[in-house]
Amino acid sequence: MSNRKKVLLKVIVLGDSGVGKTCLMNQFVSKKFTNQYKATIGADFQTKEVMVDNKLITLQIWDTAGQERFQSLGVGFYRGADCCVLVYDVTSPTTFKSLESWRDEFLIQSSPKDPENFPFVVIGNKIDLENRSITTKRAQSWCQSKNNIPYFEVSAKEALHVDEAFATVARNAQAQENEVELYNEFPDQIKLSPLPTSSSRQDNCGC
Amino acid sequence: MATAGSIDIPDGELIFDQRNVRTMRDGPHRSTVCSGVLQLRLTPIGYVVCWRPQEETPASFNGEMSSGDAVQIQPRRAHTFWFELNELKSYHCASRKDHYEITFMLCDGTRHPTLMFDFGKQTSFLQLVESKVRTRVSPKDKKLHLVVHDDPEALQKSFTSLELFQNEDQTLVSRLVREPLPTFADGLARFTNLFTQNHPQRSRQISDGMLDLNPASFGEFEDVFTINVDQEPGFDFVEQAAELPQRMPVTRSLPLGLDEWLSYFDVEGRITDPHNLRARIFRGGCAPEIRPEAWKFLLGVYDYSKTAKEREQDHSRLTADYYRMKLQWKSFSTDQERRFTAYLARKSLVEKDVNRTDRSLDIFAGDGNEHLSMLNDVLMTYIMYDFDLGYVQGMSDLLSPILSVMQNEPDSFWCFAKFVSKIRCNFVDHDRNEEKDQRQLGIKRQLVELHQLLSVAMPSFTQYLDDHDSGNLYFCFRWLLIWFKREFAFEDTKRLWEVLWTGLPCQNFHLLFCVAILEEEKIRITENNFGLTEILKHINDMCYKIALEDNLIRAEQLYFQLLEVPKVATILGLESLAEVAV
Repeated sequence: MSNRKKVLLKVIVLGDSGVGKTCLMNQFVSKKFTNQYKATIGADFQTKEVMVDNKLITLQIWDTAGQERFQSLGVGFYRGADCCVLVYDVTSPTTFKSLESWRDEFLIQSSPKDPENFPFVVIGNKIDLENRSITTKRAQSWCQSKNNIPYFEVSAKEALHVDEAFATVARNAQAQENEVELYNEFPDQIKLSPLPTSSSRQDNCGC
Repeated sequence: MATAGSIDIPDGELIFDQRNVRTMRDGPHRSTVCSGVLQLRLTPIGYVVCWRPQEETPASFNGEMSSGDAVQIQPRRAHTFWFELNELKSYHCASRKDHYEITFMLCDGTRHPTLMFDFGKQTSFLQLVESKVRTRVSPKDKKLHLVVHDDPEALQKSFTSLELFQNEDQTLVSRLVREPLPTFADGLARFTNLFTQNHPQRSRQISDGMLDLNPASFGEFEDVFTINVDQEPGFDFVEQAAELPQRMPVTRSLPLGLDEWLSYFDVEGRITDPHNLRARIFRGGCAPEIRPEAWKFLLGVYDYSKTAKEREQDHSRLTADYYRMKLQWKSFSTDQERRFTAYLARKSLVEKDVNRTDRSLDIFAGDGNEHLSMLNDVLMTYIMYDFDLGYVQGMSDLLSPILSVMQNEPDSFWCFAKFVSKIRCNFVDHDRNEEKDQRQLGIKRQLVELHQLLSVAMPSFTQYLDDHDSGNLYFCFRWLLIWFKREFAFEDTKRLWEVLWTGLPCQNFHLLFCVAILEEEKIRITENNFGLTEILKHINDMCYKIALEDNLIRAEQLYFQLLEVPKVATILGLESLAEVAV
């Protein structure tokens, strides 16, 4: 029996209902697409092993229901996430507008140690469709405004750029984990105040 | 989907290859079996077990077919799956009536489809597996074989973290790793001392929990299943709290057929003894041919006390009312819709979900499907009927079985509306600006009630869940939200719902049904030492694998047990639950 040391990284996939979160995951994990998906109810995850910089990593990718009201029950699973993937549908402006609140909500609920530098990846799905309504430029500029979130445009249906997107997810999650390990010997330590960040952009002091 | 592993099975040296190993096809159609090839390969990443369907043999049928109504079964292929042997956590073996079966469970909680062998044909495969991984038989379920992961370092570490030993005792731990058995006997005495003398609190937890070594506290033995044809002799440990009475034998009946159904009506078409009728349906469900009428009574669309003529009038009125509401949204112009954002948001949700509701069933399959547009129109009309609630995910799952029975929009609509009103609390959301913990209160309340029931019926298991971050029982969310629609085959869902709609023996019977299912999974969960994520995976992977009738029996037995203990009845709050559920 091979005795490999495995690194397990937790990834949360969020986005409005119907943007293709489950399809995206299935395309990445199982290399398949079917039009017989069901709306996700509750939460589920899938695991996939990937090599990042010669290191074997197991990604545990969490899928949750997209309808906003169900989020209050799913937040328990956000804890300990190493990366968060925000998905929208390039043909649907409302799903793009929701990215902001998905991101905020994730940061509130998962309370990562260093929210400013927590790794997100934004994915615009369904580029195989004709009726595109969000331009690449617009999505990129939003991502840049959020501390340069990496942005990918994919088609889960046609398996376009899905692997590239998740390679970045894996790499950034891995980097995040290394950093957490450096700073925290005890993962569950009680945090008394937010860690100071080098950037002063979040200076809330009104005076 | 849960059972589908990645399709790219790693290449490697073929160690073992066996044909005609069957598995149940995973899906909403009932009881189809698929033959396949089982292999063990030595690959660069280690030993890999894989199963894939046999190409040349068409899937064969086994047992029941769909009984009559709209759903037709076509042969469908099962999914290929594979896993690394060093990801194996345990496997469960059982002799059934006409085959031998093995179910594999992995470290992350994944449960693969059960493999079925002709008797005797499993031996060489099992021997091979046992030569590659070390296993021990679970003391709580002799059919459960737990993989022993050799990691002396980890064992040493976990002992150290327990801080049970002074420095000189560390040698005991290393001895334990080297010579487990004699050292264990020796060490047990010292453990016992440590716990009982120095840590009274720990002692209580342990005797409450999974490490109980006193045979007297093993509870009652279980032997009261009356129609479980596959008695499981290896399953000999069922926890029962001390104060609960013995389980009573409970039987289930055949479904209520047409002739017997007609005998419940008087000459003018009234149902004179609704309670008896409900009791009969609770016991056996309905035959498909009576469902279109019987469900209307069960759900309250029809009034038991009215004559056939009065019912006909009611029916015409309801039908007209449906089309009135349908016309409301049908007559919106595009221009009008554009300025009605709240409506458009609901419409878009419906459209997205209708297109992914039970599409693998023939009744909803294919483009331009007629039933799909009925599904859409009923849900859109429901938005006009209850605009505040609107459309919530899960509703399309509640409607599809009803539509398949009613086969027309107005009847489907009213049955659906009555069903939703019974479980409206599952879907209602409170003020969006409220704190998160103030939302989804209906589901949260049921999860709390379920926890109370569990803590009475299976205290040590409940403690286990609490200790493993799972005391909120979130893994039951899908069960409760849509009443097990995703867990059972389409036909079984109909059976379960009509039983639950009778409101017997108590309004919260669906929670007892949850307890019954969990009771069966308890040993697998605890013996595999599953935590939060693994439990969720394990429960999610149970879809289409739960035995409906067995669990209905156990749920009813639980009801009688809990009912007869006064203290338990108070904790249950059966009466108050009954009130809120209506």
